[in-house]
Amino acid sequence: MGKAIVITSGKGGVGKTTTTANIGMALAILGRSVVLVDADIGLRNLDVVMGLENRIVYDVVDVVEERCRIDQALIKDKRHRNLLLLPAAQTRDKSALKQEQVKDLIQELREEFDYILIDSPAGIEQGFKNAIVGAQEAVIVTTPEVSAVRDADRIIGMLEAGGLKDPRVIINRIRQDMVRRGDMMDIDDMIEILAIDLLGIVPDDEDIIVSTNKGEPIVLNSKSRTGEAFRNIARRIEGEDLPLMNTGREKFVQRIKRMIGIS
Amino acid sequence: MADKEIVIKGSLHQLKIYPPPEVTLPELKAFFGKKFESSGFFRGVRCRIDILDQGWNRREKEDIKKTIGAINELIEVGFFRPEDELTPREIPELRKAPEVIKKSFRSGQKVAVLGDLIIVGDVNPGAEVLAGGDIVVFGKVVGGLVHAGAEGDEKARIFALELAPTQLRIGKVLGRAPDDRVRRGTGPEVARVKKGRIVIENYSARGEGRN
Repeated sequence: MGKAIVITSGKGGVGKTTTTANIGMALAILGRSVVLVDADIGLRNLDVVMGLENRIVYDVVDVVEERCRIDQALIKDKRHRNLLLLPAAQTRDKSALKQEQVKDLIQELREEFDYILIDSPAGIEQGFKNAIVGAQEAVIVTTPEVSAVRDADRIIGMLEAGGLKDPRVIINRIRQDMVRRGDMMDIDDMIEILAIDLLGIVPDDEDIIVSTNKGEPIVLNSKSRTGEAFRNIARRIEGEDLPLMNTGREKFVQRIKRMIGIS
Repeated sequence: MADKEIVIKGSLHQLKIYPPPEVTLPELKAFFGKKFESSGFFRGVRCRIDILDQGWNRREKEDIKKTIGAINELIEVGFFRPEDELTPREIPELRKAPEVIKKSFRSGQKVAVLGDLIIVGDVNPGAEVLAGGDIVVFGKVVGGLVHAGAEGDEKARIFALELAPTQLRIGKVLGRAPDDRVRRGTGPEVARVKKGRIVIENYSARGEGRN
């Protein structure tokens, strides 16, 4: 039986979709079978980030409304055959899915795949509730901004209420220079506020914008540090105990290590 | 011969009369006399009557006109030949009048019509445009899903000033944008199914007007 992980944030624009695409690709590269589920009905993006938009025939709403079978709606990634996408409907809204339907759907996917990564919409309404209902684990994406951390904190509370204990957090868009100057929120401050485990930190990277626009997840670029960050996150999800962020910049690594207290 | 074999179609202001080929002139005149004059229905009404021409000569036609004129001089009488006529029954119900929509379709917006569809505006990525018949976009299709002949008609076509959708469908045939490059149109284009595949070509008026 596979594991369903919801990727959520509360706040919009922190990188949920990019994170979902990259972790999914990284897990597939590790040999796992992975389905990405876009739960952002009406504002679908995961297909675009994956570069698979032009392949969509059926979507998740078609599946729950029984216009097609699940396997007809699953789109095989063009680079990795272990990776599949269940796209969202674009011309519908959040009310097109009911929690029971999503739960059954995720359950069905778990029987066939190792990982089901659910890309949650921003917000705490119906769409969010649909996204978390079938999941066993949650990953929260946040950025080093007060507002994003505040929303992440709110989400942790809502996940607990929804029965998802011990979510883990990814801190996205860390800028080394700003951290060094002390202009960016401290990672240990953030962890202290949120009081949950850190799954990974991802540096801010212009290449992300390029790769997103091209529909090529950055983990495919073996030279990218950001790609490496996502690869490490995937390995941690697999249960490996990896030190945080091998950025190649000793000073930064040391600082992070010190901050999270592992050296 | 019996009256009932002469068929009348149309509205009060425009009638079409379909006499059978074997009808004789007296019979036809009797028909008008009986139907029109006795009922008083057409008295004082201005209308037009077109009669299916069964090969009468000019004198006979004048005779018919005179008969009708005697009933009501406001009635305009004309004759038509079978080949002049477009029988409405031959036009499928759903292909009758195209729907014209004057707006651009943005991400998440969708339209689906039974017949032909004319859009005066653009179609953006994430939009969905479906029609049972042809689709004409007087604007650019820079993404989105455009589906003509959505009920299975593979003869349907898609016209646009620039045609670069994310996905095209005609009938049950599906075509998608290339993965590696962005398609840029070069002027008006038309998409149709050829040998089971969707082909996009530059629009040329030649050969388009037919079918």
